[in-house]
Amino acid sequence: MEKEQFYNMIEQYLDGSLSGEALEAFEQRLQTEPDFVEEVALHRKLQEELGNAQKRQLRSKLDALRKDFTQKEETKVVPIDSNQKWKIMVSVAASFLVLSLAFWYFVLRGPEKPKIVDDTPPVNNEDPTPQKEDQIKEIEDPTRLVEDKTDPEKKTDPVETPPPPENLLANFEPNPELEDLIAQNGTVGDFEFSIEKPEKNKAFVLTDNKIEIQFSGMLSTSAIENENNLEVAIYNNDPQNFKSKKRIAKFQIPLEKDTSEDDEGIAFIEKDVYYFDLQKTLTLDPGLYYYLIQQKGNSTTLFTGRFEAKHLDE
Amino acid sequence: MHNKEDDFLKAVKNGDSKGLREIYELFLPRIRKLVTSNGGSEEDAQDIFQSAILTIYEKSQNENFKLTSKFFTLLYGICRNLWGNRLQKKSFKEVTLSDHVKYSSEENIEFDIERTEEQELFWASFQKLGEDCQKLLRLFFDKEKMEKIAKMMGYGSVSYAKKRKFQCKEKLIEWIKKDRRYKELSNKQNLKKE
Repeated sequence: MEKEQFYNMIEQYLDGSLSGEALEAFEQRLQTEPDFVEEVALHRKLQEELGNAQKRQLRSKLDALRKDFTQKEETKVVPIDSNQKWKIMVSVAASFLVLSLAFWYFVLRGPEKPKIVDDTPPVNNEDPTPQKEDQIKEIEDPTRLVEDKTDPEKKTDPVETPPPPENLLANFEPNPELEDLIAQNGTVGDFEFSIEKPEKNKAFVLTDNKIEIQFSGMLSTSAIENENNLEVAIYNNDPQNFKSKKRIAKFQIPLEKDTSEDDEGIAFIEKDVYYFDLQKTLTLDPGLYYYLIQQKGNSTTLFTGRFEAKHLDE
Repeated sequence: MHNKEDDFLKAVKNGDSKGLREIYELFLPRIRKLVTSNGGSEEDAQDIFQSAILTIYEKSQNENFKLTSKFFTLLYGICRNLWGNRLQKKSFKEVTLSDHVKYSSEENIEFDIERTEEQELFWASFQKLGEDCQKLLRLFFDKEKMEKIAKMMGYGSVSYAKKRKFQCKEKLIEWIKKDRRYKELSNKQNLKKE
């Protein structure tokens, strides 16, 4: 039989359009010829897989996600830290240039142009170092906001929305020190967190000045001896508040050890997996907040995240 | 079982983009670690992860399928098996196979994984076809009428469309059968029958 006819016959059988003697003969061969069975099976599987529109759609979604989540070799080799150093160096150079220009402008024009003095307070000209630090962080922060595309609510850039009261705006000002900690996530010791909730940069809506916050996710580590040793501390965005350790709240994180993979995990990963899931109600003013996961009695931060609390109309 | 575990499953079953993204965010890092610390590359890790999701999709199409463990445990188990199998074929290094068998026994993952590997082979072979053949076969597998296919492909006649369909399909099957994986898969299936 011609191969083309052979294919056509199989296709007819599979879509149920084979009948009469042809069908009988076909079924007879299915009973007696293993190779024939294999051939028919292959045609059937091809039709099922390649003709499955829903699954094809899933595949293309996964392909897209794969692109988003593929780690470039470069970023693997060059740690983020040195990337940032580079950024900082550029920023330092830039801000130094701005400052010295401003300084010379100020010196040359003197009191004739007091506006400039207002823009760059003289204090900073006398002692430029701390100001530089602050400026660097401020320059960096907008890029961070752009990078965080996950939460659409996050995009409400305070600059674009109608200007809220001044103190409110200040409440959403990122804290550079804590932003740095966020950048260090995943690099601290043998602790690997997958935080499911709160979602990255989540914006909570305040109800009667309260939010319901859930901390859940997974921790993979071999460095935990005591399962009651983990806690999460919440700070607002005020640098002073963080420096003086005036946290807004602190909770113990109850860890639930995943025993299901315990025995099989040994060959590949000698790590324990813990799950956690706790829910708390917090009374907060609108603003930007940070949560820090630490071990009790140890000030090293293992994971840092941020969230916002807002009234509905903000 | 937590609701969120079923939510993960639902996201895969329904192809929910947001849920799938969450699955990548939460679980890819550990799978990446599993693969890359066992002789695999980032590419391998991504392949394994994607295949595992597709395996779970197939499982989820069975109405009777229910999670008997955490979603991640299932995902991880499939990835271990997939990577174990592929490692062994690549024979990068010795694989502690007893470990994998132990893992698969409870879930009957082995069957699902073979099916996934076969489907990956189908797609890999499909990608080797020319653009023209791919387009034509896509229409054919979507069960478009030959008349329509001829029109959409800009062919002069239906009989030519049929001829081309045969040629393309034959080429596809040739690619599949040529692949080492095809023999391995059909060998395994034959062993099972006996």
